[in-house]
Amino acid sequence: MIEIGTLCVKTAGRDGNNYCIVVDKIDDHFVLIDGNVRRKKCNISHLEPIKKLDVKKGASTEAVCKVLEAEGIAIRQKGRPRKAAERLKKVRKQKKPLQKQKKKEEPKKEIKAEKKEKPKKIEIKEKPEE
Amino acid sequence: MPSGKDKSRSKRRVFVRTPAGKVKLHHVKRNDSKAQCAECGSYLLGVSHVRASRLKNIAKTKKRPSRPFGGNLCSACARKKIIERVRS
Repeated sequence: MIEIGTLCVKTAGRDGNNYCIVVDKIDDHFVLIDGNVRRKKCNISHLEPIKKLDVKKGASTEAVCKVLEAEGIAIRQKGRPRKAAERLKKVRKQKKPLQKQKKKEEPKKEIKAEKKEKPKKIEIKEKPEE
Repeated sequence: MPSGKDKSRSKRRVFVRTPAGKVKLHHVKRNDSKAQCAECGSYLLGVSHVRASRLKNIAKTKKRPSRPFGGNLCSACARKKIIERVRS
């Protein structure tokens, strides 16, 4: 009979062939498992019980992993970020830019800027007639 | 007259509608045989059995189930193997 704290091996699914511990009982057919598998509910028919261990109801993943380590079961690392393999990028051949002929720099001519002074307009104010 | 190689039934015959709107007969190589369980010999589900040239364009997750012994044993035989290992 599967109870809380039972060490099991999962026999179905992508977590199959891995050790887990029953953490909680959901109903007559389903239990919550944790350990070397994803923490999720599982059908009792997909578990092969081995023996009973001391695990509290609703125990955390860390607590379950410690119990498994004490039993001598190597813990599989979950959620480890994977490093993508480096890919060789194709380097496109780039066209060489056409070499422009450099213009010979001519010395700037000194601009003889002599502003002609414009004659000032003299405004003659007409006196109003009395 | 069809040429000698086209008279053979080793290739599949497929009617293809061409861009011009005509229907022509094409001779296509047959797909690979279905994968079978190594224990019981039943046909495996979820294992693609197309030509090798098309297989390279298919995602790895679509080529075999992602459980242990996936693509080699059927689910029932895989479960039996796991239970045997635990009980021994």
